[in-house]
Amino acid sequence: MKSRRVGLALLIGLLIVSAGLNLLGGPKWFALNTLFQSSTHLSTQVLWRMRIPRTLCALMVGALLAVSGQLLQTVSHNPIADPSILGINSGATLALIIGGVSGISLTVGHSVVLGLIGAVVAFAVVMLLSVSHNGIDPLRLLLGGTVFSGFISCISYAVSLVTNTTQAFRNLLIGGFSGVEYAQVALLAVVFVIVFGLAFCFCSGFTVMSLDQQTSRGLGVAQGHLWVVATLLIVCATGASVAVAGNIGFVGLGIPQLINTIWPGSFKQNLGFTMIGGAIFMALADLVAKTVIPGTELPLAALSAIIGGCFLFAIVAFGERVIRE
Amino acid sequence: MTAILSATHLSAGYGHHEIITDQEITVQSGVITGLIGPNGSGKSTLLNVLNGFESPMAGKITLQGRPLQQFSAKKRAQQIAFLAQHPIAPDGITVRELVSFGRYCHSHGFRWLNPKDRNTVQEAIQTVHLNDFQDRLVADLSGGQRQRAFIAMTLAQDSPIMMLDEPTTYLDLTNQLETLELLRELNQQYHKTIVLVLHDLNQAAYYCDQLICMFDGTVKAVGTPGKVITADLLREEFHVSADIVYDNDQHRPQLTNCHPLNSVTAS
Repeated sequence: MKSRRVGLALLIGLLIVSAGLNLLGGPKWFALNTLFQSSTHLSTQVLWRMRIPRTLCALMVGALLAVSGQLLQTVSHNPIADPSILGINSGATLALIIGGVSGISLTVGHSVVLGLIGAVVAFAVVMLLSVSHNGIDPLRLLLGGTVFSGFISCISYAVSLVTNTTQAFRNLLIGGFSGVEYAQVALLAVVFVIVFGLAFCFCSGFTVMSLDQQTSRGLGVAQGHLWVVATLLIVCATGASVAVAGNIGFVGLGIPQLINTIWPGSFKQNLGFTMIGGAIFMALADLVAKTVIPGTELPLAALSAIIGGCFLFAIVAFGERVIRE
Repeated sequence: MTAILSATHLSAGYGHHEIITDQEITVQSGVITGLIGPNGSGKSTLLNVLNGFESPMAGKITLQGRPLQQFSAKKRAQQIAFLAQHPIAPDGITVRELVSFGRYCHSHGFRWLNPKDRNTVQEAIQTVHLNDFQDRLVADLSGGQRQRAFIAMTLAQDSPIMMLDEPTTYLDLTNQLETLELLRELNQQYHKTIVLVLHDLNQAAYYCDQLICMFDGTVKAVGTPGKVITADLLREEFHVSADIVYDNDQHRPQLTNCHPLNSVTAS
């Protein structure tokens, strides 16, 4: 109990620090007081028009991806399920690329619709692949999803290579927040409120659902209803994230795992932690992407995969007992 | 005695495969009913339709005088608590949290635990004697303690009926007996109606008031242990020969000297 309160304070502190660093850091570092200078200064304009929306988007995308990962892991009883592993991100990416190639202008509204369609279709396909005669088979879900994800990613690259649009869809394919504006912030804010509102409303149901299927049924969980809610949340969170920041993986896998390793707990207890953890991670990852090599944006998807891969490696190598002892 | 749960013309199975065909089953209120029978005889299938997890293929199930299908998931869980054969708790859950899951079926809207719920949870933990372990992680408990924690969870549901699918299977003898003693205590003190699947006929005869013997999807015998467990039944359905010993007052038969009938060594 005590360690949780300390943890929460620690996480909030980290959140503020990383958001601040993300805001001020970049090809050129700004001082904090630049924010409050008169708006005629160029650097103040850069901060308000470009840096602030970027920071806000990074925070919200991180939180959304992390929580959709936690949700998917809970309802599918699979500790390494994650929207990106199951190909939901790739599905949204492919839909956006197909839309872009076929001449739809990728405004915020169009992007999010395309992203949602792609995410829904991908989720449906993966679910159909994993249904066996006694419900959803976690192993099939994971294996089918991994193969499907790779397949869809290849098609995305193929489509953009063939049509010679890799440069145009660079952000989408490799992930990144450069060029986001307040329109994207508004979109993410709406999705954020919906996703977290519903996640908190239904969190006791999801918490009980983390028990095995028969036991949670016996406790009175209407599993069908909760699956529908979970699917809705995951698809919204992932579709909107991809529409804004492209195909970023491993956040949904690494962050819930990391949080659960440090503070083992139920879905309900860790929901807030995971949300903040995801936001911190994404703010820092974006900071690295835009500062390490001046003048170049590192691919955020690759960066996230590298860091996420290291997390995963550490979890597997050291096991879950490390922190508990 | 009144029937709390009954099924008429019940057929059940999975997919197109019918396992139970046109059976009548009655569970008496306030007694311990044991489901016995060889592997594959339909005991688990029966339990899964009686607790409302699976819809019957044909027939009607009545719970407290109302059709079982009319109960929502939560309302059903308020009447019937179910303990699976091998329940799995997620990592990082303490005993008290696990037990509090039992209150889910009583939660309205978005609030989970009110003070009354907390009391019920505390009582359930006390009843199974896990007071000293309530802040421990479920993953760190021994097999017997974990089973008691799950029983406390079903107890917190505060339902008149408890159903347990082979609650003794993964336990050593001491813990098997302790679990069964605990169930008897729950039956006597809280007047719980208990339905459980058991493989050990001696335990079934000793702890159950009523037995339902299933064989090949049909109910072969129903009644008190003394009536159900007979040399004929053992020979015909279990293919076992045994001597049956009765205790003085209770008519609870116990088997000794058991041999499989078609085994080479027995003949």
